[in-house]
Amino acid sequence: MEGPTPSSAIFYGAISIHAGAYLLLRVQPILAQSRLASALVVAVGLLTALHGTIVGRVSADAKTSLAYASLTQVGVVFVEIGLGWKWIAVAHILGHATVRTLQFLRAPSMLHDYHLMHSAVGGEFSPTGQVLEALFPERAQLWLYRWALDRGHLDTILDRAVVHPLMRLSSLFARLDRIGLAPTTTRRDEATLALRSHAGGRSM
Amino acid sequence: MANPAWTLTAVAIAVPWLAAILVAAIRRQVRGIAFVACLVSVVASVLLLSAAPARESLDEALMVLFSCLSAGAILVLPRRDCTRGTMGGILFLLGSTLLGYSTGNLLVLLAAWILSTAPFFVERWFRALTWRPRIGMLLSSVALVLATALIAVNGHDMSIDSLKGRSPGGMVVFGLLVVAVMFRKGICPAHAWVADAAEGGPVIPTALLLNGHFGALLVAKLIVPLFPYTSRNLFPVISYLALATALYVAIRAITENSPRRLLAFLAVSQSACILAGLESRTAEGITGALVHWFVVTVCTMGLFGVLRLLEVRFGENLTASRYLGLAEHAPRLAVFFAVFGLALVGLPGTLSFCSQDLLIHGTLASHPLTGLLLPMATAMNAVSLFRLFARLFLGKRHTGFTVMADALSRERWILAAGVLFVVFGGLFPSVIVARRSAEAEAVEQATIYQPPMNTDERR
Repeated sequence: MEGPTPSSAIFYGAISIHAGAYLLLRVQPILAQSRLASALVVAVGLLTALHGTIVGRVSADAKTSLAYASLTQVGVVFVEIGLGWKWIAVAHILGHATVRTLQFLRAPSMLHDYHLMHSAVGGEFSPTGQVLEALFPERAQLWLYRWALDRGHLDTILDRAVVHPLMRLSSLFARLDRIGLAPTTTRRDEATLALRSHAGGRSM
Repeated sequence: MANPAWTLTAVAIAVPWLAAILVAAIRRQVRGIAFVACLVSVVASVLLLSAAPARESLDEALMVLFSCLSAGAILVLPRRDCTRGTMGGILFLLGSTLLGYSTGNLLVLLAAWILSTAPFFVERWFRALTWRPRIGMLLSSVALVLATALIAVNGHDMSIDSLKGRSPGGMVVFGLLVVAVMFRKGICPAHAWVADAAEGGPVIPTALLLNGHFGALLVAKLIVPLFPYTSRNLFPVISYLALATALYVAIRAITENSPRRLLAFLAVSQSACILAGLESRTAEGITGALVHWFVVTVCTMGLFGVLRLLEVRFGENLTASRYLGLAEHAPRLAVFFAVFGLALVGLPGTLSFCSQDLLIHGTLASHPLTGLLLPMATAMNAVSLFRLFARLFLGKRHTGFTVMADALSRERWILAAGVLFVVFGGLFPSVIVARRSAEAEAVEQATIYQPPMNTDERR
């Protein structure tokens, strides 16, 4: 979302965000043959929708909250595909792509419009979107707030489950590769040694 | 009157060798002499290719590719590296490699195999930092010598055509040939020498040695046709070894900070995919492997070439441990590096996308596990390549260097030719894929086992 708004509108509002859903639509006849695969798609869709709607509520900028709103809708589209409602999914994709692209394009001027409206009505609008949150106990609300602020801890989970083990494995392979070699046999090591000896020579 | 094909082959091989001697004797116009010799090889190889039937044109196509590659390497070579020794070595390597591609005789293939490694045993020419590159090349040569000796001892003819389907020497020779392939191609656990060679030796000649792909040639030309029965039963082992190499080296590259070593790992990982495709025994997989052979050769040569040009301009201690911001000074080189890198890892729109697609489909049909894991290796290679690109070219350069040191026009033209090959190959793949498909069918036919009259199969 750090790119220019028009490209965000096209890619994240219309094209690439729906590419996965389109692929699933194309293979929907195969999915329909397997209840397990369909159930998996529904589960992934539900989790995505839940994640998107919770995280989107604590996003502080317009484009990020729109991005999470898109994720929520794509999650719902996944559920529709998993349930076999092919044509509803197609309509949903088309409608969502159109509306979301417009919203992304309007995002930069939205704040300006809000300020105009606030001055017209003589103050801010009443806060909205706090109905569902109020159903949870206060402790759960706080936990959920922290969870949403950290975007569901997904980055941490990925780091711990994928990135760190892979890096450790790579370091282990690097150590294995050096078996039977003298400690300093790489070009970089040689350069470091040369620099050290040069510095030593000057100080003497 | 001499056979025209034989004459053209002799010209393609002998001219670079003679030029190597000439370059050693005459100290002036070294690059010009070497380039003209390569050009003669290119023309002779193209004439051979145009005369060869589609199903039997693999050797000729490889000759064209390698002679074009050598001509490009000679043009790209920075002035600092343009010595008599380097030029002579490249020309000698070109002649030896073309000899290996063109021959139909086992003894000549053995001679070409050994000769192509000969320059790398000359201490002044190839100064490796470790003992592993020479040992790797030596062991591969020893294994091939033993295999050839065993075939000769058993009283077989040395013509590859007459040995087809006869499994000469049985399992022992098959095993020795596989060992030769493993050491030459850098298949795990013999992969480390390739990175050592790339890091310690002269970059462009070492890249040429690796891109000769003699290991894959031995599989396509010798192992598959000579041992159809054994390879049908035991080739999955090689396929899994190739897959393990592709994955192992891709993971290893993730934490590597030396650009030369990192590129060597990527080259090994991608070229291991060629072996997996050749072994798939499906026309799709073999076609993918042959097309990928061409792509990997051009792209890795381009990447190593750009890296050498950067080293000459910005110092030889380039590292991927911090952002160097070289794109500010060398934007064209940055673009060439990005295109070759993306083409190597299968960006849609490039020839590599077609080859990877064919490879994965072919291997999925024969070995589902290999077919599923190969894309993972490619994805990890892409991560490493993006990291290297970002570290070399992005960020802000914190030195007082202000001179624009981008690609010279000589370098631009030749790198642009490589880019055009991978991009136009991707836009119009049928031109390249159709020809490789015919050759792949011939290789696939060779894997179909027909019980011979007299074999050493059960030994």
